[in-house]
Amino acid sequence: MASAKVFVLRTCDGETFEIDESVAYVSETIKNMIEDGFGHDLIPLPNVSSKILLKVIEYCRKHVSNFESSKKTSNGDEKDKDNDSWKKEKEAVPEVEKDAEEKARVEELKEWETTFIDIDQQVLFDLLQAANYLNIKGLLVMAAEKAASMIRGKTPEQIRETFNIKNDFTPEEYEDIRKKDAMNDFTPEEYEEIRKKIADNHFTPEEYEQIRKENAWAIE
Amino acid sequence: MDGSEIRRWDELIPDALGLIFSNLSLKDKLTLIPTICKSWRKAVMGPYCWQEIDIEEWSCRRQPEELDRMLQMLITRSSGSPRKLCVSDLPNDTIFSYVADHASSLQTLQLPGSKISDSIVEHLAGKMATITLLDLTYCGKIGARALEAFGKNCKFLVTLRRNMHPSDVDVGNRGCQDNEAHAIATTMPKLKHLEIAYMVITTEGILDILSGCRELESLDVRGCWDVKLDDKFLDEKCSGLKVLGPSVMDNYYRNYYDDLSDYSDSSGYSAWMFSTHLYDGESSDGVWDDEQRLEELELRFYEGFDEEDDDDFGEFE
Repeated sequence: MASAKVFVLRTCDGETFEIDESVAYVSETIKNMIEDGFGHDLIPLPNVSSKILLKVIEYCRKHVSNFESSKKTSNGDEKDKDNDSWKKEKEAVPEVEKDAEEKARVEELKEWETTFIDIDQQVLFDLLQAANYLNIKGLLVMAAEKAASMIRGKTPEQIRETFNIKNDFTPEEYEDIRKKDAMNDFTPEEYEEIRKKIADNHFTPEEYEQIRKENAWAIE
Repeated sequence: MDGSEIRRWDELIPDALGLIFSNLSLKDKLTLIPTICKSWRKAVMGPYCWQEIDIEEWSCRRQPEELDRMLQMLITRSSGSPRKLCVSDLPNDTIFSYVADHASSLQTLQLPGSKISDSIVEHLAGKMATITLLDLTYCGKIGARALEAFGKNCKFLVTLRRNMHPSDVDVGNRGCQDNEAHAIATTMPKLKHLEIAYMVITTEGILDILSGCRELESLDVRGCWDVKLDDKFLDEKCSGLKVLGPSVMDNYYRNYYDDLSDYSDSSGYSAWMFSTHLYDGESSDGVWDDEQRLEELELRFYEGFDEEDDDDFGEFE
């Protein structure tokens, strides 16, 4: 039977949380601290607030319970125990042969994850930091994906607004960057066309300047 | 720490930023992120973002100079030794040399449609000893010699994809490729996942592979029309093995037919490539292990072609 060992974590704002050994071990950092003999007293986590630790513990508990139920429905072996398996399941195409129970489990997990990570950018930021500090790979990856989803499809200004980022480029630097990094989005055929046109000089001087600016790295 | 304080996303450490950005498209990483702020620009030019380089889609039919430039830029950003590299249509051996020079940490190498030669592979496979997943789909210029070189030098090879193009089989462009099967059988004992769709291979060749690759878990022989595998034999001798094909599944069949109508030298690649990877558990954005999840492959036992079926296929040429 699973060990009844319990550990106590203390956050930077002085709150304490009791968790089972299996839950504690989801964090590599905490696992190492325990294995190094620091588990007898409170385990201090000066970088983590109680609000965030609650979230982290929620993740760890779900991770443990998910692993337990996956062992029952499929042949989850030891190597699935680490944080990798969660994402792999997400990516896997649901297979005809997987039994209904297993499919339901994966579905439920996805739903849970969507709700779990539906947080604002401040909590997301803190969660990222905590996952990094506590070395919880699955949580780190989930948080990073969420952050990426908040970036995708936005203009630079919208991104800066979402994440409260100040544009610290000077106007000249900014123009320079846009020129240098603009990637050639043309298909190879369109590109050939342009190359030919440039060679035959069919552009107006303004058109040419524009294209040069946008494709500097590719053409020069 | 708590409350409504501003969170400094621009001060997030580069490896965390790199992890976030690795989820984004190539275009976003190269043209959007660098314009946000100085620290993000710095992070996206650094190694944490580029340990896995996937330009497979972008590189399709690119001009060699462009491809060269992009590859050099990204490999440099990865600090010279990425863990994963996916690029299609490498046009010559020179670019391959460049890749080989930076392959000391490479675990996944995908080069579909590349025009590399047997000689260059024999010459440089020694530099790629850490590879576990190798994709040589549609590499028309290489054969048994290259496979042997990879097998001998990549002792940790677990997944090999060496699918060929369906139309080649019909047009009879290739001779028998049992020698390639033999190279696989004799040099890749640790192989777990093998894809050799549309290879011109006989049952002999498959048996060769099965006897040499004792750890094989999944085998894709769709389109290998000369292969006849007996249910009973498979059940008895390789009970843990999942086999796909030789019959091509319905939805693939439709794609195949579409392919044939607008087949040209290179445009045929993409559709097939994507449909081959329908069951690929691997994603391109990941930070994950490269071992392919093929548990999703449906179990397919070859039940034997009879003459009638052959005529049916004749119709679609």
